[in-house]
Amino acid sequence: MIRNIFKKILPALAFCITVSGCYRQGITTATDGSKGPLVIYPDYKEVTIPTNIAPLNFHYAMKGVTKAVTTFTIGNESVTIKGLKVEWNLRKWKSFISGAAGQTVMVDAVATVNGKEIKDKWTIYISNDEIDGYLTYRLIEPSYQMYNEVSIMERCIEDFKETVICDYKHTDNSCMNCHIHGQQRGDLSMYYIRGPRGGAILNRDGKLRKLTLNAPGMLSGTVYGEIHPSGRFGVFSTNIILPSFHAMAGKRMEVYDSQSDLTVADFDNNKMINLPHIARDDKFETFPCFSADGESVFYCISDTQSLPKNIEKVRYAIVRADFDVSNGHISEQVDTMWSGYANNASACHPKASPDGRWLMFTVADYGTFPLFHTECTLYLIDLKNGQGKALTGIKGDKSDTYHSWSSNSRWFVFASKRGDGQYGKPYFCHIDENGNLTKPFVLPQKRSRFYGYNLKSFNVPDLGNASTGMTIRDAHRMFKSPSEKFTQAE
Amino acid sequence: MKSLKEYIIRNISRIAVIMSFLTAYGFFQFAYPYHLIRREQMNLFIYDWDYIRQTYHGTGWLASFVSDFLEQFFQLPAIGPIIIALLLTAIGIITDRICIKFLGKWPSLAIAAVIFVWSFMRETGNLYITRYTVAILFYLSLISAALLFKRNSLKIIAGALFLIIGIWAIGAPFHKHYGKPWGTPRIEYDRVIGLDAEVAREHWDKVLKLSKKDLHMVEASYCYNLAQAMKGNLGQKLFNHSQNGDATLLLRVAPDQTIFTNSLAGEAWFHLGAMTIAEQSAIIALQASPKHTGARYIVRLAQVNLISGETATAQKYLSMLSKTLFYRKWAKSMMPGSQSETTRIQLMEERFKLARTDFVHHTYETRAILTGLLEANPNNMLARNYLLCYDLMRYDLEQFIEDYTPGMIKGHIYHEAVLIWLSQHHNLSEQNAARFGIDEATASRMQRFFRNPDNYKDTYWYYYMNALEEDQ
Repeated sequence: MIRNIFKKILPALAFCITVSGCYRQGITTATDGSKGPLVIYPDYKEVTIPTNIAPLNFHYAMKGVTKAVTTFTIGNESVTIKGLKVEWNLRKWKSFISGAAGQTVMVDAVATVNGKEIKDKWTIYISNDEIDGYLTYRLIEPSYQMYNEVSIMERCIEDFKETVICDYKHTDNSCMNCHIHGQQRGDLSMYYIRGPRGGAILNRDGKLRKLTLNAPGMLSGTVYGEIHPSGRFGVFSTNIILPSFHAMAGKRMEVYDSQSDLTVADFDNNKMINLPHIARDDKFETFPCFSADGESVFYCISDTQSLPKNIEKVRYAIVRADFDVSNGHISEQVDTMWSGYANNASACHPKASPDGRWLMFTVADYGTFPLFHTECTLYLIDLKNGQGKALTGIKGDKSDTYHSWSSNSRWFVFASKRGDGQYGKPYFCHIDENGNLTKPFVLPQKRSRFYGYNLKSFNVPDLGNASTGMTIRDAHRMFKSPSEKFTQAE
Repeated sequence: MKSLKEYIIRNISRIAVIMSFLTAYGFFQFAYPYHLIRREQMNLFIYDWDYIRQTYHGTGWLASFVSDFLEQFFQLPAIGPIIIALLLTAIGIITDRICIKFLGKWPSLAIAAVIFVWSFMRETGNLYITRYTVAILFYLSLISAALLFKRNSLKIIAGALFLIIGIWAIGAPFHKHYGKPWGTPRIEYDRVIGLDAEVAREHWDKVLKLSKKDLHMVEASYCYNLAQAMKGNLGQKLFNHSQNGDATLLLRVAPDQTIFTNSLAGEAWFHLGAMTIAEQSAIIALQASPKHTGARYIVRLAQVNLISGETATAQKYLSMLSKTLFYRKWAKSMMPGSQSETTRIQLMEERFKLARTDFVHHTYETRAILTGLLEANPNNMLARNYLLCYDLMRYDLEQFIEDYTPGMIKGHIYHEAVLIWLSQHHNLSEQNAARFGIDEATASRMQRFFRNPDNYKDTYWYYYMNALEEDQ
């Protein structure tokens, strides 16, 4: 009888899968495919890539496309891939682009679209500059109200290996905040596990500690921040964050701070350094980061407003203050690097390049949460001469935010909602010594259709020059272990 | 009689199989009709090898794949209960076949019955997890297959091999994610998820019927109000049951609400035209679905983005749905560029509801949101009804009179509120009542109300009077 049941069920299942399955030819999943006669997704046409990047897998994303032949040529060497999905064997790709730094890959494509043969060609330039090989990010739905089953991942961008650093399964479904590297170092980094058993998980020289970065008198635990190059200090914001809705469809959400301040954590002495001149009631201060030499702190500052009513009047400026590495104090005197009022816009997420040359941040019309601001763009200040420019040449049709530098300062990654408008994806961009940029390209995936089915944002992508070495076992161990308390510095 | 007894004993296995199937089927068809429907709404099965490879990997991939495949059919009438009944019955049959190799007929049957009842019951306490049933069935099948070998040594080798394969393909047989080891049916829970399911399907009569027993619950009262509003009867039937202030009129989407409430809250906001709230509600609900891919919420996200004019976002969701068995037709009909004239007109009508002026809010500001929607489209009768009822439930008659346009919207409770307002301002006269379109019969009904209020519990007068009494 059992045999009979299986004899009937299995062919039925197979039939269902075969007959109703694989409608994939009909409708494409590309929402921000390439230009040109043949549309490919992800758009890897005319991009500049590092030699150590994973294969640029893509697929032909046009209605009616049935056949395709794609030929990649560097000098005398050619590789031809047949089919609508151009997905490389990792070894073949590595062998193909090894030693090709500074050269151009010529791509010739021929596809049959609605019975007609269409040809296209494009180039891919292989830069001499390598990129840091590891990228961390949090995978989360674009909710901002609630969370469920969140994970922090580390992806080796030289191949497709993805490691879970921390996830909900090992932390009683706790919320967690994104992982950040200090100076792009794999052995200096931090992330948060939230909730009663949570804490800041600090990875310093590969040694993990769980810290309660909070002390009496602070607005909240620490939120945004960065680790000092020495590893001894961290500069953070403390924020009361409120998610809210826009009334107009398409504008989606706005998140704002009802209060915010800065604080410095001394990891050697377990002290929180809170300075009265920073904790001003009439100012919002947030998104602090260190300069490359660690002698300054850049942060965003705005006049307080009645919120959310006056959200459109919130203009954050970027200021620089001296940082005293002997005691962790931020100076009272600040220099305005970029004025929110003068530019009639608002800045957030400043990050200094590791070579000390550039300061990059996001500029939106107002507020401190530009993730759904389609007008927002990345902005670059040359710290040598103070001159700045909006990076409109690489701007997508949706928000570009949360960038992170590669340790050689020749690449940066940023989260962009371009295309589908809902889910942030990591895009890489090359920058030369003069600040010239190339067309950004999205993080390559093993399966070219990955992004079409992905329903999570790659939140706060952060580059690291080595693996953090952290695993979910570490996360679980840290979650179960007691947290080190911090006290207010005298 | 004796021959019947003999017949039963002789065919006890077959009878047990039939009884098991009928019990399981009957339970899920009639006693627990919404569990499997809800399960389908929280699941998505996409017919694309890329998606399948991307989604089903790691330990337990096969059990997950098979259960997701089966769950897509739960939306069809009677198919869900039949599938579950077949799975559970198969568990019983295979258990019996395994046991009979070692034990006698009756002990085997008894053990099979215990395993059947256990597999059945443990899934009734919460939302049904097909994957668990599939995993148990697979493991039993592997044991059964291992026992087919005649030599004991081969049985042991095959058993070990199958166990490894099982752990890889089916996952651990017992896992905390499978739920509790035992469950007891919760009929009221099925009613609540049934309400949610029927609200999503816009079966308003069923919503009214299902909500009746649970109107003391905020969510049930909210569903009742929404169903009446969608039928255009909010002004007539709002006080057909006891309302507890404005808490059950429109629910907030906020971190302090449960995922279930947040998910339900989005339904009314969606019909009103507040797309940002509806979208966030759907994303929150999506997070709570097993693989964060609930079909119902992806449909809602596609709808929200189509109406909002976020074409690329809508395309992403529609592309996924267009590769499913049951949403394919709808998704293709809604795909930008392939929409029919009727669809385009429907979307246009929905777009007329959208707010034209922006402000930032936390969904507490019900009045401001509804006013914004009415400014954009004064003919949004749903928003108008909700606004008037919001005023009334907050006892704000001055605001109500400001919002109320006589003759524009039907509802005896509005007339009753006007009469109270006139009375408060010492203007209660036949002439003044007539200015608001109130006939003499309503005015005289008010007189009768004061004589015997308990006979008029469905009136605004009764609701208002109770508030006055509470104040005193």
